[in-house]
Amino acid sequence: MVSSFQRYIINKTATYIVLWFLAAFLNFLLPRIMPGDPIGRYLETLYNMGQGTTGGIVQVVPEAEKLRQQVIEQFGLDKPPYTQFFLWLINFLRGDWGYSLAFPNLPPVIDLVKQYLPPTLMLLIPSLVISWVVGNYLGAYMALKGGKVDKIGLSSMQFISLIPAYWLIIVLVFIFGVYYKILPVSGKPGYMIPSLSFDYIKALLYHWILPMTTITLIGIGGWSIGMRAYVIYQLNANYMKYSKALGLPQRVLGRYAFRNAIIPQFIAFAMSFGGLFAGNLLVEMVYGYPGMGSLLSMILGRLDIFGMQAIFTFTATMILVANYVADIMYGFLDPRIRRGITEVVE
Amino acid sequence: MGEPILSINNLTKTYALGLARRRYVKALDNISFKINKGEFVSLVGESGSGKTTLARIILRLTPPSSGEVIYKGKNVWSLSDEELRWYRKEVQGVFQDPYTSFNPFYKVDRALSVAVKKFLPGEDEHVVIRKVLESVRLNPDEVLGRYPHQLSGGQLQRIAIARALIPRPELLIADEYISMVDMSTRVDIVNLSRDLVDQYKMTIIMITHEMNMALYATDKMIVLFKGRIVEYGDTKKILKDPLHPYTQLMIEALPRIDKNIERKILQKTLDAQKKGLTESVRGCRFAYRCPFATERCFNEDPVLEEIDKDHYVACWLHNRR
Amino acid sequence: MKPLTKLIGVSKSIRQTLLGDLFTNKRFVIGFTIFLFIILLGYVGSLFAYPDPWKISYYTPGGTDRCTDDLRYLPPSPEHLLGTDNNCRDIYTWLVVGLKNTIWIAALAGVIGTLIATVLGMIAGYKGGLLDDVINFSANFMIVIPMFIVLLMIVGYVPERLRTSMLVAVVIGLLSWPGPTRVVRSMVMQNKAADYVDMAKLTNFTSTEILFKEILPNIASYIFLIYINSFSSAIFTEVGIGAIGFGPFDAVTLGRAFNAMLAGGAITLGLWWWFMSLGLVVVFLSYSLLLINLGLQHVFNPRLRFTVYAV
Repeated sequence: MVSSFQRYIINKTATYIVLWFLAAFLNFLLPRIMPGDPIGRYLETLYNMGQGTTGGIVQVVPEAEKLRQQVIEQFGLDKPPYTQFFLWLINFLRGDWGYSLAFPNLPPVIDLVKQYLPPTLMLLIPSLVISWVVGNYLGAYMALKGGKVDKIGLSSMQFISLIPAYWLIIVLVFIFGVYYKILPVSGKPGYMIPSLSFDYIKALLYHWILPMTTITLIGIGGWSIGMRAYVIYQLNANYMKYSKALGLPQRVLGRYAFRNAIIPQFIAFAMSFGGLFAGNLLVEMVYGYPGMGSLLSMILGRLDIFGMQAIFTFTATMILVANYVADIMYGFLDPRIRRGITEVVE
Repeated sequence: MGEPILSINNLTKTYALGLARRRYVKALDNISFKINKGEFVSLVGESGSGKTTLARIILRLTPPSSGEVIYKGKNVWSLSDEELRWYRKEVQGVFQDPYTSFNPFYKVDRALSVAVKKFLPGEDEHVVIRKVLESVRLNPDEVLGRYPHQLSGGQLQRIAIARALIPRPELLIADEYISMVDMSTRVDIVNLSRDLVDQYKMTIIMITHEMNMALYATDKMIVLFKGRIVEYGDTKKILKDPLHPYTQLMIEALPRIDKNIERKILQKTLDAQKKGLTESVRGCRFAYRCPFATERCFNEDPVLEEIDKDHYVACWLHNRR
Repeated sequence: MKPLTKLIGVSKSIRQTLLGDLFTNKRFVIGFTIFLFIILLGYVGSLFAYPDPWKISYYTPGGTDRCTDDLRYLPPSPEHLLGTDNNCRDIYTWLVVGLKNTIWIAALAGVIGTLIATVLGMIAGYKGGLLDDVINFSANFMIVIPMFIVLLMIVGYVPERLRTSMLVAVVIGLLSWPGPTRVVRSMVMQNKAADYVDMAKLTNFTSTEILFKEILPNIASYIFLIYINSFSSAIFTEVGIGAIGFGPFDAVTLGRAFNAMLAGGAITLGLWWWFMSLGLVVVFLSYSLLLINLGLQHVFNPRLRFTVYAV
């Protein structure tokens, strides 16, 4: 006999596997139903890179046709669609993500992700932790303090959370990069080749400060608004009135409220990953920080179907995993699920 | 007494329990009874006894899991569209919360005028509404043209009754219709219901948890406990001689037995609650609270048996076999 | 049942004192004023702009269509309220034209998203069963994957010439239903459980009548709030994809203006009026919509906890 908590986990796991298949399928389907000729576009890029420019397009047509056949064979594009899908899916799971058509030398997509993902994670994870901690603290402080602090605090937090990240970084770059000249105006760490060398990491960190500050600031706005609402909800709950009537000191009441309000924030922590990832893409694109955003901006618009498929599927996988973790955490934190206490459905 | 107007046959309603959906609870467990035309019947039970579920099944708002509801020889849950329109005209209902019984977006007039349009096409709306409001002892000028939140619970509940009376129904199901109005209004509404039965030969089923109101006004009484009928019969007979220990508890006739026993019931109830028991799994549903419970009560379902004329009880204490 | 008794306070406000309550609500008044100001900037402001955002420097005698260095990066002046860009074009004209177009795109996207959400939410909430399961599952799926990434995917695959304002508006609209659908669904479910719906059933109302005549009027005000939310987040989305060069290709929008600003090197050259004007318009537009939303919520139902979801 499985417990209701185990059942909950099995249920969630199955749901997320289905979701993942759906996301993968969508990624597979979209480029195939869209107009445009990815291979043609790739060849065009090749010519533009130098090979065909001198001879002109007309002269290389037979050659282009030969090259096209070669590419189609290489990626199995002549096989029936479902075979293509499963081939692609199996290859994706094995880490064989195809070759990026956006670059003339056709680098393996997984290598690109290996190169561009760490800087993004370096940005997202600390930013998420810091904004979560600071935001929750501020939100609880506003709620418990009340009055003017709360009013002004809330309004400014609402305002901050509405600033587009891609604009805030522009303003910060202007202030610290252009005006005071203490931080770089672009996220690209010079012409250094990405590596794990000390110099490169130092350069990366230097370019990391501004995007990090940007997304952390905006994150603090969002977290504090949420936390404030939860704490106020707890303060108005009946158990709180009862504890107050018992004469418990304000400090203890505040701690109670905080402890209960933080639970949903734990869950939201994992769930916010997807949104943060998406928002961060723009910041990276605008600032040129060498992360997933920059990679995507190189791939998008060049009809690099392998690159896009792989990167979007990988992104969806990351987000689904984060949400899966959040759901499982919810199961742990919610005693009704954990202990299997059931309610009448009516 | 003539033909029954309403027969409930082996009615069962099961709800799935909880997120994992592995346990089921029977809100109604094999209920059967008959109601004759012109009777004022009370259905008494504490919350969780299944009385509201029963009302909703009769009103054709919630489908039963099994069993049937027969009204004037027709199975209520297999009516054709046309028969359903007829059934709605014949059988009406009033609900517990007068504040949510009216759409907050509209004036109360709308509930009444819509009912006239739907049930009495061609009749003068204005006349019908004024007449029906007067019949529930309301001054039409005081309530018409107002929004639900501008009226008191008592006024709203009377308007709800007025609405139910517009199609001139034969059977009225009143689900806890007095529990959310103040005491003096309660008596008024119950008296009004009594008049409807006496003057217009209407049949009313009053669902309530208030034993005193049921004893005060009704002809017949059905006592429900955890989805089962425990006692059923003539109200006067039940008042005079409540047979089931649960009915006795409800009528507060316990001092007649023994103060110690009352304490015992309470102690048993508390013990059971500590163990997480809210009902017996097998046998009599009341056994875990019953001071007279024997081995048999915990193992075998008691059968509803006619002890006296028009007086049935489901209790092994009174079983003659 | 408790939340519904709260709703009772609403009808009075809606019918009798809605406007009065609104215009004594500080948040609403401030938000509405800012909003009106920005709309006026788009419409009245365009009277002071040049008719064609693509045309080069109007103020030179005879008007030239050659962009020379002395016409590039001009600072603000009466002829060019926000100066000129690297292509000698008038920045102010780009701002107001972009603002008007973005508002239209966002308004249309909001209508599409809200309409889908209302229909799906009402079906799911009222009918229940398999349809509800399917709608709810799809909505949850779409919520997990950030809409912005799906949007990038779609615009990434669509060739440039097909990326019109209309297409962008429709795609944003088609992607923005999941959250609102869940809100509508839960509101319909809450109303469906109310006794007045049972009363309507007893009065021989059909499902359609119950849905449209009984439930819809009660949730209409919240659907309006949902619309404002969708409108606001559509502005964010358009500017976001436009800024990185994947917005509409057939018109000047705020996103396009952002993109031109980034490409024109406004930051490194320190042309603060350029990026500040664009950014502040977006920030104040969304802030005003948030204030309007909070004010309306307060008037519709002071105690309702309604989540504002922004991108």
